[in-house]
Amino acid sequence: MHQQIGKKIFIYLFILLFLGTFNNQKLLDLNQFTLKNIIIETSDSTNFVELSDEILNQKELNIFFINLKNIKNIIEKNNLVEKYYVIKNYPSTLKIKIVKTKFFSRLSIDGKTFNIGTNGKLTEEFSNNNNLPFIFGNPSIDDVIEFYTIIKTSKFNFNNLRNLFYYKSGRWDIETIDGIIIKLPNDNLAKKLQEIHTIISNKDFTNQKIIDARIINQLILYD
Amino acid sequence: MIENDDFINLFVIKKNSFLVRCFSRFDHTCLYKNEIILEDHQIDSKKNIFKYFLDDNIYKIEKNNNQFVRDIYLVVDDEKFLTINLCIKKNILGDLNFEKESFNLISKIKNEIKLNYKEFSIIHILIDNYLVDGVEFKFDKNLSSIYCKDFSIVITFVLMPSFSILDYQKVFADYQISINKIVSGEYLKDYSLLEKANYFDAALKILLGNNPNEVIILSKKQENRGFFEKFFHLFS
Repeated sequence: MHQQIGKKIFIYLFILLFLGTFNNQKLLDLNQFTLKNIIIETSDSTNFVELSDEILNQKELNIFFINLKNIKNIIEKNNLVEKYYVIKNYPSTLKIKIVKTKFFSRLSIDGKTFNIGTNGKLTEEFSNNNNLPFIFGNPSIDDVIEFYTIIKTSKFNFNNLRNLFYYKSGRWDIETIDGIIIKLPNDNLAKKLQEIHTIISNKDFTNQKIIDARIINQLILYD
Repeated sequence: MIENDDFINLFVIKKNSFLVRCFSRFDHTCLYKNEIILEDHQIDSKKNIFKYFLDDNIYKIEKNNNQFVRDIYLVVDDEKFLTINLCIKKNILGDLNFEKESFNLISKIKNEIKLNYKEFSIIHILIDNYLVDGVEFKFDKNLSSIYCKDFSIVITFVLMPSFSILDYQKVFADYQISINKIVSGEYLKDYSLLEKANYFDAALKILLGNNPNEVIILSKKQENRGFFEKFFHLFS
C-alpha cells in the first residue's frame, strides 16, 4: 500500500512539471524547419529556377524529413547537370551546387538538332552552336561518349573536328576543320589516331585530303 | 543479290539538303526514302557529307531491295545550270511537214548549241511553242498538211557545265553506279507547279518521259556487249 502511494506521487509530480512549467511555443513550432529557400550555385550563368520550383512543389518540405532521393531524381532529370552537391543549411535552406555539363558535339534526330553533353545527355538546341562538331548517322549516346573519350585521350582536339560520320558497322570517319577526312578503323583507334596525328603534324603533309586507316598496318593517303 | 532493274533510284542534291527516294518501276510506290539537311556552315563540307550520304544509303537501298544499285537518276537543284531561251524560224512557203520540219529545226539548233557551248552539256530541251506564220500552233496528228509562209519553234535549252557532270559521275563511279539522267531542279519545280503534282511525282513524270514538251535524245547506237557480259545476262 505504501509503495503504491509512492508511485502515484511520482506520476502526479511528472504531470505537474510537464504541464505546469513554462512552454516554449517556438520550440514546438515545426514550421520553422520547413524548406523555404533553395540556393542554386552554378558553374556558369545558367538559370535553374525550374529545379528549385520543382523541389518546392514536393509534399514533404520539412528539412529533417525531406526525401533526398526525390531531390536527386529531380536534379538528375535535368539534362544540363553534370555534377551536383546538395547541402542542408538548417533551419530552412537547401543549397545545391551544380556543375553544368559541357557540350562537345551536335546530333540531328528526326530533323531536330541536339547538343550532346559530357554527361551523356541530349539537350535540344535553341541557339546555334556552329563551332561544335556535327555527328551524321545514328550512333547511340554510349557510342558517342566512347568515341569522345578516345579522341580526348589522343592528341586530337575535339574542337578541331568539323564533322563526324558514324557508320552502322560502328566505324567512324572524322573531318577536321582543315577539310581532311580520316577514315578510322573499328579497332585500335587510339593507336591509329596517334599515328595519324604524327603524319598530319608533319610539315611535309600537304594537299592530302583523305587518310584511310581502315586497313590493318596501312595508311592510305588520297588527294 | 540480283541485278534486275525493278527500281527507280532518285537522288536529289539541293543547296541545303540531300534526298534519296527509291520507287518501284511497276507501280511507282516509294520503297525507301532518306534525307540529310545541311546547316549553312556545313556547305563547305557538302561534298564529304554527300559521300557519307551515299555510303549510308546505297547500302541500305541495296539491302532493302535485295538488288544492286547500278544506275540512278540525279536531280541537281543549284545554280550550275545555264538556261538559253531562243526561237528559230524557217521560211516554208508551201505545205508544212510538221514532224520533219520540227525535227530538222531542233537538230539544227541543238548542233549550234553544242558548237557554241563546248564546255556545257545539254540536259533538257524544252519546246515552249510552235508558231506558224507567227501564230501559236498546236500539233494534231489528224491534221492534214497546212500551207504557211514560215514555221518557228520557241525552245529552251538547259545546260550544265560538263566538268560538274563529270564530278557527279566520278562520285557515283566509286560505287559502280552510273547516272542515267540529270534533271534540273529549277525545271522540276516549274513542272511540278504547272502539273500541280508534288515534287517527286513530277520528277517521275519527267524521268519516264511523260512531259510532251521535252525533247528526249536517244542514242542511235546500241551498246555493244562483250561475250562474257552477254553470257552473264543470259541467265539473269
